[in-house]
Amino acid sequence: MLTVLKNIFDGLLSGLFYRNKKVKIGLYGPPNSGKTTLANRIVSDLLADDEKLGEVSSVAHETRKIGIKEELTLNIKGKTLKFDLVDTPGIATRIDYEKFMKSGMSEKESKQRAREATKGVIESIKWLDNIDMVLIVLDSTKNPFNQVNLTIIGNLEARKIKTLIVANKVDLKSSKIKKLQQAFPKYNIIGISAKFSKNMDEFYDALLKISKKR
Amino acid sequence: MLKIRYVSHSRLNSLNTKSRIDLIMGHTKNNDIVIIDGRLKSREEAELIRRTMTDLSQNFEVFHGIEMAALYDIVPKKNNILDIFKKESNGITIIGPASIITEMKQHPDHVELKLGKNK
Repeated sequence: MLTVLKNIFDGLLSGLFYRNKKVKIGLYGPPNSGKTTLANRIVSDLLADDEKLGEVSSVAHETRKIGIKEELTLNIKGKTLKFDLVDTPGIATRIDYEKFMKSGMSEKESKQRAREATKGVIESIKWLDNIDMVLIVLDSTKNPFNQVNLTIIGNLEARKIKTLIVANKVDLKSSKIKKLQQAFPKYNIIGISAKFSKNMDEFYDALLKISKKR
Repeated sequence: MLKIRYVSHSRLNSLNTKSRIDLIMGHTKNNDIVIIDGRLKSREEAELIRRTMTDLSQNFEVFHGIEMAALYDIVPKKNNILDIFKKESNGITIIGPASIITEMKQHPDHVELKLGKNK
């Protein structure tokens, strides 16, 4: 009887602390899926200012270093989520500096970008061990059956990290959110346009809901 | 001449993570395509990406990285492709150098490879 009561008490106590604990939320995904655009949107929405977490670009691997915004608070209908937002470089299996040159960069700049991009991917993978929850940001116009996506999700499953899949760029005509839902039916998938702030309320609701799951 | 290397299930099982990745990297850096009778664990896939990037950073003018895809022989519950991670011994994995595989498109039941010489 005493053991049962102790377990109930411990559960309530840990639940209380868990609810108030600040978590680290990582943005993961392939290059150019809109992770930094979403990070900037979240920071702008929650801090109500023009501060940015990073620069965005149409050229892949714009984000090559981990970006962190600390002490963010999401409040919805009396429920609170305190978190640090970690924007990670896109994970890729190939990087070709000559592709950067085709987008107008000099050879020197392209090589530097390639070198930094490789380090960025390594950092992103390392950070998987320091993250409490992950937003997988996918470009909803692209084929979701991609080994990088599967590797990221597989690693999150192995580490038992809470995950929300964000189907970004739903403002584009070629967006196919249904294909993502078919690929990952057991995940909650929220379609948004981080660039045009579309469906962000649903996104924040889902974020809060998943963060409270045990 | 394009060489395709086969790694049997028993050979894969006889290797630890480091040896598996050494084997794959050795072949891909030799411009061979590797077909594995089985799958890597998800942590091993992440380690393979990490190792690829480490090698790429040291020699990115020649080595552009890898392409990889895995196909599985189980029917996922509710068409959930993530259930594949529960049975890591099933399926095949295809890994090749990005210098030879210019594009790899993965589908639930097939993989499309576009081959060419990047350099």
